[in-house]
Amino acid sequence: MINYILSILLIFLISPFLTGLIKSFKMYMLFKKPLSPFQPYIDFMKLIKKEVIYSKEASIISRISPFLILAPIIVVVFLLPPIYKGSYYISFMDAFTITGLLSLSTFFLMLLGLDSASSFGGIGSSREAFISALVEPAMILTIFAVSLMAKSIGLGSAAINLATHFPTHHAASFILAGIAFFILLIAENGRIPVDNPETHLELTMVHEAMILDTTGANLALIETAGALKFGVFATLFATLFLPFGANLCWCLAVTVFILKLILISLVVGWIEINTAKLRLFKVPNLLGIAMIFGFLSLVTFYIVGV
Amino acid sequence: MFSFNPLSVLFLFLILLGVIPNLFYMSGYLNHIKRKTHFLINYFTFIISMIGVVLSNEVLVFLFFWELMSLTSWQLILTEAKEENVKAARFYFFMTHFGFVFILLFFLLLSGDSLFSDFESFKQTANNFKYPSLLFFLITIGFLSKAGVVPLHVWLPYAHPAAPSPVSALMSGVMLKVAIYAFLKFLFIFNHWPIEWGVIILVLGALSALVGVLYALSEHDIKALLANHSVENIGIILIAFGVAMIFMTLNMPTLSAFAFIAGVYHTFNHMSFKALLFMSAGSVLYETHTKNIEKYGGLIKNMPITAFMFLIAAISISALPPTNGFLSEWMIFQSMLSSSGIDNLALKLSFPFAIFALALTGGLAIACFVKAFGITFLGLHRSTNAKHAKEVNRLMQIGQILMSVVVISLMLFFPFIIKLINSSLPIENIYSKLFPTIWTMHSISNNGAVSPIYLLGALIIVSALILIYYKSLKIKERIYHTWACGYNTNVKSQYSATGFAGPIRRFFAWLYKPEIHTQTQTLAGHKTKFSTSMYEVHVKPLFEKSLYDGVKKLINLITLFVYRLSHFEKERYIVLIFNLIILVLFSFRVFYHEISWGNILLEMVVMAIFIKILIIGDKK
Amino acid sequence: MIDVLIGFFLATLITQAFTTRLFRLILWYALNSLFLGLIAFYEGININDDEMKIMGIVTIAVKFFAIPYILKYFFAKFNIPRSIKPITSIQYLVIIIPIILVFTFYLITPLLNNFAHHSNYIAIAISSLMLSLLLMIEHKNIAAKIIGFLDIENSLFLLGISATDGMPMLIEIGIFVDLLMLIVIINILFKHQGEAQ
Repeated sequence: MINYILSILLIFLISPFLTGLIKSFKMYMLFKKPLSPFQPYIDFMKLIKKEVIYSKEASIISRISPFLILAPIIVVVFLLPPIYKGSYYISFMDAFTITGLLSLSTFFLMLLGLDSASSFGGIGSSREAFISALVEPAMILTIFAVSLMAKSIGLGSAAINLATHFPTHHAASFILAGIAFFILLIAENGRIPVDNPETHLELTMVHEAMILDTTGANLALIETAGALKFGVFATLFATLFLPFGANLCWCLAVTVFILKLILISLVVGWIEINTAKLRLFKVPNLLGIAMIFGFLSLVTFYIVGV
Repeated sequence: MFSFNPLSVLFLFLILLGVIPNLFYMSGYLNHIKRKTHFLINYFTFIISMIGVVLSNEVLVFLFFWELMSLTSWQLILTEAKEENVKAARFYFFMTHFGFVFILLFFLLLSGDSLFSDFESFKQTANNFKYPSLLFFLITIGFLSKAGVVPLHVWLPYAHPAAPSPVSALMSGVMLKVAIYAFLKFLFIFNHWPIEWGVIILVLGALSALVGVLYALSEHDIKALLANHSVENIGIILIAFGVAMIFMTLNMPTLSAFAFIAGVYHTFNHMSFKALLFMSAGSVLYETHTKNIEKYGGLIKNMPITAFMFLIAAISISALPPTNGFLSEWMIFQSMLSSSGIDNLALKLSFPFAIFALALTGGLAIACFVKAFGITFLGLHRSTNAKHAKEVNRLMQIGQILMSVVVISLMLFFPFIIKLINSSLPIENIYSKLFPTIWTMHSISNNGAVSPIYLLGALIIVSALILIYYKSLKIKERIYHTWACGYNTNVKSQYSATGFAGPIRRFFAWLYKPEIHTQTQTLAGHKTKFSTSMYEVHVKPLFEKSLYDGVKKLINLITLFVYRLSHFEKERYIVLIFNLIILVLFSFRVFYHEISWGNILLEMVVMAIFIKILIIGDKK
Repeated sequence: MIDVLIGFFLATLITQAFTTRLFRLILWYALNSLFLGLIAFYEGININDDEMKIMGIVTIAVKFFAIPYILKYFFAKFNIPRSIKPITSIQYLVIIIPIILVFTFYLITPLLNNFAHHSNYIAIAISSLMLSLLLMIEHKNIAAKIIGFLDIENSLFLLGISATDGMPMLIEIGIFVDLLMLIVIINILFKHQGEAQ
């Protein structure tokens, strides 16, 4: 139980670091003077003290949304698979619940965008609705494929099954599902080919447009939610699709896990500096690739047989 | 005459759950209606006839109540005699009787010589019937056209919004479920379902789900939007039934039972949240006197209770945890996941497509309800009517609150509901497998588990903790303008429903084929400066355009041909006789032998040649 | 022998379908009737049925001599156009006629069990029924329609012979009288039409 709480704490603490790391890695690669990767923590401490400005058109939705955006993601963190073998994990929730909770968070984020009557918020919500509607099927298909390979839909037992008995003859469908999931990681967290988290230009904004009217402590909550979401996805990718290292002793396993997270962040950063943001109506092509990979993964699994 | 068998009692329970909150709501709504006596008589007869359909156990009684249900709902649509309502009612009347013909045929084939034979005797007749697929075809068309399954759904988005809101809530919430009840009841009289039946139901369900949600997204009329969502949810229910039928045929009774429970549970859930949505939408309509979603906005400030009820129902229908809508959709996903145990590879490979359809439906439903809630209740008032709206009267509020209690209790007490459903259906008892403990529901295979109560508790605790931390910071608040690049925010710069659905509409343009009207009043000499500009998109459903208008055109053509034949071209009479003789000979052969598809195909080709050459002739 | 005669019967019928001249059509009709009469006569000898033989002779007398002559006389008298082009073009006829022939055989296969012998004759009789109908269909000219009608009568007669070993003579005689009456009625109609024009 104690190591469960510790690993949850680890994910809470490391998530902002990962987003900060991506940013400083990008700046370093672009020959800018890099920020400290710990910048998100500083931002959080700064924002949380600031006063909150509500729009005069805003309703109660603006006041409750930040909590309802953050709360489901925090709950998801508690449902993540164990970092190393023997650690406690929650078995009474499965992967569908996690996608549902992430959608719940997005739902309130979109409502927040529409609440302040600004046209930017509308743009953001509308685009987010479009993207998340297309993410959903790819996500479910990938989960389906992974759960078949791991012989369990519960994330904890799936991760353990994959780590202990890796299905080597299903390596092809495993890799396909991994690629699909990685695309989803990028799309859900608003990284570059789908959304640019750094600009505030109306042509490119998706996530930023929705929270344009959010200030101070509320913004801190939402930024935390964003960072945690990245942490959640990175953890899922690390435990489900890079299933090694979990059998080591706990100190080594945790180190390997942190290294995996850093590796994922660096890969995401690497993709960001090498690609341009896609036009909104090209995004379905990228998500279509994820869907097709999800399908292919299932089909290969069925054809190869158990 | 009447029987209280478990299935009937289950659906009686559903009807009562749907009707009781509606009674309060209706009493509040009543002063909005001009022809009160007419409305009340029809309203109560409608409720009684639905109960009658569910409880009846004889052919004639069933048909009587079924027809009474159709006729009273038709009259209820006509409560407000506007041009469009009359049109919708006519369409509804036609379609409901189109289905009735098939139901009647089904009963005539099975009832033997007596119209008072009870449904128990159907079992034997049905299982000895030579062509059971014919019977299945009849109940599918007959009952599912009432339930609004693609492609027989086109009447639904016209008919349901045209009725007064309490009636819309009843029609979408309860009447569709009565059709589902009838379908289930007569499905279970067969001992064995061929695999094609399950596949057909699955495909129909997947199609309905996608088509329903896509047209809901493009809708500006809030009640039509909800009606399209009914099509979607009926589709989801049918997906569950189709999966269940496939499993039953493949001799996996446990999985089949799970899927059946999922379907019936979703039936309950859809009743609750769709009725609540229609009530809240009706309240908005009651205050603003318009159904156009672009004329709402900011109503959460005027009508907080209605808005809150709509939000609960919207979260539930979008299948977001921990609501009841999520639970039933979770069960359906789990049962589809179990399809990996099927031996038939082709069938197994086709399941991911159904999963894909269901998942896409879920994603689009979220988008649609963000639009419905966000545009209706958030932002600025888009019209003066919306500005002067007040909270509705107490009775209507009570109706909505009662219904939301139903929604929430379907979530909180779901083990009991599932136990009830399981014991009411003629399927294997799997309750103890699903609920080792009462807190968590397990799926049959794959270790799936969900526990909404823990989930709800966790969400509440986490939110409360954040809130306590937040309050402890003692943050100052300030109210100020929305930032809009230095301009003031106004109604016109605000996002509209059309704009919100824009990306999705554009992505699915091949399906929508929208008619776009733009009108711009440019200022003299400038291309980019204009005083007023209007952009309007209208989407006419593809099915209506192709299928229904196509049938209409075809019938017109045939009528014209018959008219010409009987008035101008005496030469063609002999041709008709000739073809008739050929047809008689063909059908003689068909009845003489077993039907063989090859023969029929061959004969159709020959008939086609004769008709082409002799009747239609060369084009002049 | 009967096979040969039925073959000729069918052949004359098919030729009628392609004929474009009126008097030629009457000639083919006469030949068709002749073969029918011969079939009846021969069948009468085979089964040693006197009534059948008489029927054959009467058929030849009425249909081979009397009716063609009367028809020719009337057609000449009322200036019926001699050219009778079918409205269905020839290439379609080439498709349709074999289809009719083949499909009548195909269609009556279930019937064949009931008529163990003569089964082919029944098929040919039904197909000639169809062909006669076709003859009526493909012409706009009233004269060709009359011939088609008479052909139907011939086919029915053939059907009667092959399926039931001959109908009672009284009925057959009645039909002949009907036919003659029909010719008279047609005469009146023609006359009427001529006056109207």
